[in-house]
Amino acid sequence: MVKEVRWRYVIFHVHSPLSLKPEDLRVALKKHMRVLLGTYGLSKNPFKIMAYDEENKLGILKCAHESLEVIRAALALLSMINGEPSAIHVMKVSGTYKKAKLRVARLAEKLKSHWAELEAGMKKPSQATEA
Amino acid sequence: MSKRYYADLHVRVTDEGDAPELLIKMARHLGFSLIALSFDDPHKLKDLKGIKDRARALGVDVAIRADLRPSSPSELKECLRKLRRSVEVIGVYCYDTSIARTAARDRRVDVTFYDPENVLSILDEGQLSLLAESGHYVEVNLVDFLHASPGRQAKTLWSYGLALKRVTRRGIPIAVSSGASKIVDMRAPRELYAIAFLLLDEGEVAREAVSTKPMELVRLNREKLSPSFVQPGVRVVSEW
Repeated sequence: MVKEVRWRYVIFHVHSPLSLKPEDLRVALKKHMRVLLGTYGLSKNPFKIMAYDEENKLGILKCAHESLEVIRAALALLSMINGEPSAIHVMKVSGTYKKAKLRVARLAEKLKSHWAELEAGMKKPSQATEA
Repeated sequence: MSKRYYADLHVRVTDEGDAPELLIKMARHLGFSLIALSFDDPHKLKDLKGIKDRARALGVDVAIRADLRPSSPSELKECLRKLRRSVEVIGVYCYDTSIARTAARDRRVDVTFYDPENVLSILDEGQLSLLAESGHYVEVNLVDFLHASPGRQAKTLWSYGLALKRVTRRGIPIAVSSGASKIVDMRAPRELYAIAFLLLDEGEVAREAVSTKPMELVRLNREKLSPSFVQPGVRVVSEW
């Protein structure tokens, strides 16, 4: 039987000087999406945050296959989280949650090697000296 | 299937923004093969040339771009005369009709980008005819959408959506760039593509706007700047 909805699992990386809790991110994303897409837009392009790893700032978001580009564009248009300049980058898209979790683990290792340098660059001078 | 390479034709180097090295590292992290670094101050051109070699070592090709924001058509022509032979890409910010018309007529200009408030009134049929003749690129910068209030963001998306459909109908090439001066404002190629797709509703045109079109522009301009170039289709093969 053909599935009515084919889900996609979007692995994203949060680029922010703040260390966000999963709940903060969920609230910020919901707010942004509601402003950008509206209630009707959200009903057509549903999404759900499945997991978020605070330490590596990697998360998994579930959305419909047909909404993938809209969700990707909406994430790209996010520029602030809790009043701080931030960005959310889509790293990979997977067809199953199981595979997405595996990829998150692999990406976390990969990011550790070169992300610190970039993240240090975007900190405010006061924050950089504290670290 | 051959590998697709992506380019961000507009990354700005400013005093308030991040250092060029950091912008290049971020571009590599995001998956760009080529970025065009632009400067507002012509005195910084020398510094950027040194950066090109360092970027090559990092695996990113850097093109030098000049962003012109002239106050009058005569100032635009003077800037073009001074800069055309020393930079690979020239972009003109068109905030009014007189500047836009002069830029569209002049073949030394490569890219025109617009004030999001007036994009619909400037990109009218007259401007489109001139752009179609000269083959200039129309550029959309993501920063125009990023830091706007929700109301303005909606208006900008609507204006650009309409304007780009006019541009596509006339066969004028489009480039979608970040226009970022900070790494936090830079976006990955697929994200730029998603925004282009949202505006254009045409997958292939949107994909070309972040990959083949900007790459082609830089390749052509580099060919023109090479000493062996005579005119399109004619170049010096050997001298005796």
